[in-house]
Order: sequence, then C-alpha cells, then structure tokens
Amino acid sequence: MMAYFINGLALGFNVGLLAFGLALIWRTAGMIDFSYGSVFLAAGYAVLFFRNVLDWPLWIAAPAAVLVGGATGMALYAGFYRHFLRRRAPLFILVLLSLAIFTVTENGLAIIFSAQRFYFIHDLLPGWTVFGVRVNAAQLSKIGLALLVMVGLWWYFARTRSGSAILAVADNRQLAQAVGIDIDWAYLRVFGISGLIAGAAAVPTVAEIGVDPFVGFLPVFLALASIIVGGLRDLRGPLIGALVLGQAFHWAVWKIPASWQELVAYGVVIIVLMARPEGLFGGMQKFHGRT
Amino acid sequence: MRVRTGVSPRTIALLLGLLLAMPFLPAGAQEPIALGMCQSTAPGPAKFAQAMWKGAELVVQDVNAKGGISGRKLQLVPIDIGKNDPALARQSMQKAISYDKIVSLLCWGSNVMLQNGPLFDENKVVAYAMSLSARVPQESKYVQQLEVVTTLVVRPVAEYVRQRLPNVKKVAVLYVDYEFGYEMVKAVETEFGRRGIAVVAKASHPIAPPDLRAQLTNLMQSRPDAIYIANIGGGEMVLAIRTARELGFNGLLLTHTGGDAPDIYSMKLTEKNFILDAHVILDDAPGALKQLASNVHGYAGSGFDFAWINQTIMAALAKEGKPITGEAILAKLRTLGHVRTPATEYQFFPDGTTQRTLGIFDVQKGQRHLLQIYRPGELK
Repeated sequence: MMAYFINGLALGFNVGLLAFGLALIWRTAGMIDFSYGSVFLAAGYAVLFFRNVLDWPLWIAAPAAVLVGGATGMALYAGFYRHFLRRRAPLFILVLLSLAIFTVTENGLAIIFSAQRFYFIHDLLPGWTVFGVRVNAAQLSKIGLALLVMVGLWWYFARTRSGSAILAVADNRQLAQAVGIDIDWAYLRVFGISGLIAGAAAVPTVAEIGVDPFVGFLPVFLALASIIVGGLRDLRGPLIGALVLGQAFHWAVWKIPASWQELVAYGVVIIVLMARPEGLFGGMQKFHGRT
Repeated sequence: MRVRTGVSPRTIALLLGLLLAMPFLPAGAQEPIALGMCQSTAPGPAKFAQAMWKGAELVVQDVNAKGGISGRKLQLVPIDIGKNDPALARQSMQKAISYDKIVSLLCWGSNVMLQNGPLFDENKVVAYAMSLSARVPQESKYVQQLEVVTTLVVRPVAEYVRQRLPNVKKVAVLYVDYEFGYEMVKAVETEFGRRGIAVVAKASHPIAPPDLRAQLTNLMQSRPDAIYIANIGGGEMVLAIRTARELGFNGLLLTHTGGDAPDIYSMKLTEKNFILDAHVILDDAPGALKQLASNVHGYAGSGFDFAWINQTIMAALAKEGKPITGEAILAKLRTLGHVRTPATEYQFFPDGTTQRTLGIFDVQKGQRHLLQIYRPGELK
C-alpha cells in the first residue's frame, strides 16, 4: 500500500509543477492554455536532442532544455496570443487557438520524428528505497522542483517589483495599465516563467519515461484538473489539487481494474466541482470578463 | 493569285512525318502496380511501420531494377492510418484504392482491419494483416494474415517456459486496453493454463501510457514468477520493462513479436530474465534485410515478405497471361499453402489464417539471441 501512496505523491508533485505554470497563465491572462503541452514537448525534445545528438552532459543539457521551454512559451505569446489578448478576444477563441497549437505540435512532431518514443537514458535511473518503496532520481527531482518553484514563485510575487506588477495585471488589467504597467511585458514574462516551469517538469519526465509527440497530453490535462480541484486563490490550490489527483490515480488500481484509473481520477474532479465549484481553496470565480 | 497559308512547307512535312511515325514510337510508360502499406502515428506501431516499409522497398527496388513485372514497375503507396484510427484508415484506403489503384495492401490494428473488412471485399483488394486478432480473417474474405493469431504467438513462449523454465508456476499479465490486449490476455490464460502455469493477476493500461507504476505494483502483489507484457510494443514495452525492474521485480519478463526492436535489445535490463518470441529471419536471407531487421526492427522481414509474395504471384499471373488484380492474387495465394520466402516460411490457410516460423529469443550483448525455433505446424 505504501507503494501506491509514494508513487501517487511523486505523480502529484509532477502534475503540480505543471499546474503552477498553467495557473500562472490562467490567473494573469485569463486563458486556459492547452498549448502548454507544446511547451512541454519542446523542452522534452530539446533535452533529447542535446543528450543524444549533441552529446552534452546532463548538467548542461537539462538547464538548456528548461531555457528552451521558457523561450517557447514567450515565442507562443509573441507569435499568437499577443494579437488576441490585445484585442480582448473572448475566452473560447483563446482556448480554441491553444488547442489548435497543441494539436498541430503533436501531429507535426509525429510527422517529423515519427510517433516512436525516444529515450536518453537507457538503463535504470538511480534510486533509493523510501519506506520500502523504490523511488528514482527523476521522481525525487520532480518533488524537489515543485517545492522549489512554489517557494520561488511566492518570493517573486511577494518580494519583487516585476512580480507585483504581474499580480496587479492579474487583479485588474485596466487599472494596472492606467498606473503605467506595461501589460505586454507582464504577459511576456508570465509566458516565459510558465515555459521555464514546463521545461523543469519535462526534463525529469523524459528522463524517466522517454518522449513521443503524445506524452504531454495526460500531464497537461491532469494539471488543468488539478487547478479546477484545488482552485486559483493561491499557489497551494493547484499543488493540493495535483496531490489529490495523484493519489486518486494510483489508489484507483488498488482494488479495481486499471482500466478504471482515469475514470476514478476525473470522477474526483466532478465530485469536487459539485461540492465546491470554486475549488477546494477557492479562486475559481476569478475570470475577469472573458467568459 | 497565290494564297499564303501561314504554315511553312517545312512545318507541314514535319507534322506529316510525325503522324506516319507514330505507330513506331515506343508506348508511353505503363501504369505501375501499386501496393499499399499502412503508416501509423501511434507510438507503438510507428516503429515497425517504418521497418516494414523499408523491408518492402528492398524488394520493390530489386524488382524494378530488373524491369518490373512485364514492364510494369512496382510502387509502394503509403496509407495513413493515424493512431490506428479506423475512420482515417478508411479514408486513406479509399483514396489508395480509387486514385492509386492498389491491388494489395499491408496493414494492422485489429479495429482498423475489422472495420475496413467490407472495403477490402467490395473493392477486391487483398489485405495482408499484421494484426494478431483471430477475428480479423473471419470478418473479411480478402484478408490474409501475415502475422499469426494471438494464440499462436503466445504458444511458443508458453511451451518454452514449460519445457525449459519449470520453476515458473505463476504468470501475471500487463496488457493494453484495446482489442489486441483483450485477445492476448485470453491467449495467455489458455496457453499457459494448458501447461499448468496459472495466471494470477492482470492489469491493463491505455495506449501510450505515461506511467505504469500503479499497474505493475498491482501485479507484483500477487508475487508472480513471470510477467507477460502484452502491449503494442515500442515505447510502451520499454517503459514496462524499466518500470518493472525499477519497482524491484527480478522475475522473468516475457513478451511477443512487438518487442523485436533494437531499443529493447540495447537495454541492459533485458540481458537477464527476459525472453520473447519473434519472427525468424533465416540464415540465407539477404544481407540487407538482416541488417535492416537488426538496426530498425524485426518487422522489416514482414514488409519484405509482403512485397516478395506479391511480386512472385504477380509474375506468375503475368506469365499465365492473366490480369493482375486483387481477385487473381487472392485466388493464387490461397492455392499456395506452404510458402518459403527468402526471409522465412509460412503456411497460408484458405480461411485467411497463417502459421509462420517463430523463434524464442533472449538478449545477449545488445542483440537478440535465438534459443529455440518453431516452424509452421510444430505447435498445433
């Protein structure tokens, strides 16, 4: 039973990491960004390229791939979303656009690289036994990174001017603009930071399970579900939501067939929404006029 | 008064000359004979699709270099089936039939083959199936399996375990949540059960799973001596092997032909307690094919065989003065029975089923290593 708990915890932190990035965009720009999966894939394929083709050592390839994630996030904003956000496009347009970008990315990668899964580590990952359960280095990295990102984001928004500016834009875009905050620059930073977070999630994931064009789908949807479950009031919401879903995903197969796994996990989302539509920690009603 | 026509006498002479010479000009290039080959973007099949294409290309290039079949070149036509999507497959197959005029195709995916059976029958296109599903040849007259059915792919490994690994008494099954997976579970239960080896646990996973820890933890609770991995292959199989070993399962890992790939053999984890059954490429097969099978995927042999069997039948039909149509190819194929290609041997049955040579392999020094061979009919 401890195995289900520990593995569920690792999955939860991994999803929580992605949920931070998604929540940042959602909270600031007011959009659900399905193309976050494209950023995840860009970083995933980047680390594969740096390791397998350029033969860079991991301590260089990993941060480089994280930077690719940040750059991809900013490129998507500058290339696509800026145009629509400036014109205050309705939410459904932005959602459709992000979904289209994600779909194009997945299928484009499948055409260019084929749908095969590639690995850059071909052996067992180093690991340790924790409460009788083997936990590998990738799982521990995801847990560590999730906590680091949570603390880092708290510090950034609470202690820095640019972080405060982003919060101001998230709370009231028009007022923020009126007091001279550069909205475009704020959004660019948000997409950049979120991209770095996606990159940080992608590298250990690819180390553990490899990468193919469709590997980003489930984590991104789970991250979205985490935000819905946990709420958007503060950083705890998405993380707690992710931890709940991680446990649901793993405990689901304890006594019932594994084919029920996703049904159980998303069933939790429905139950939480029915009981608390604003999410466990609230904040889900903060859509600023986009719906 | 003379009338000028505007056309010089020289031009008129040239046109007249061309008109008279036309019967003696060589005929325009003849229409090629098109063979369809499915291409998949599903993570598992993508790799072996590529291998099969390359295997078929070896035959096509060779035949075309020798002038084709009665002057007609062979042409491979890709058929996009997406992620083994029956609806997309239908569109692509329809296009290949109507526009490219394919007479024969090679495809897989139980759902793809089952749902498009009527299309093959309506258009009289011979569909060679790499799908393991036993239902596929039952649902269409124009399907001939090139792969063995699920029971027959499990039988060699079950027999090998019974004979050579008597300590294995309990097997668990990890399977993909798909038609193929369900049939594999039944086949494992039947074939291992017949040999006194109990199936103690089963766990399924979706296609292209990101994580298999929950499923494998579940299976390991039953303390099996072996775990049979019944997923599609490719990345799913690598993930299953790594996760099982990471979670501390040191028992026997078993799998099927989908594991016949370099990325499985290059894993150090497969050099101990891992066996699979896979297609045998005989020693006297062309060197280029053996290299392809080794470097890309063992399924290169099946692509090679598809093209080779077709061109052999077509050459025979051309020699007999018969038209090269799907109907004629199927009629000929069904009379052949035992077929020895440069790569391997088959026993084709009139009901569309097939037996073929399979081998039991383990992995040594990054390569598959043959332990035992089972020829068609040896495992009835």
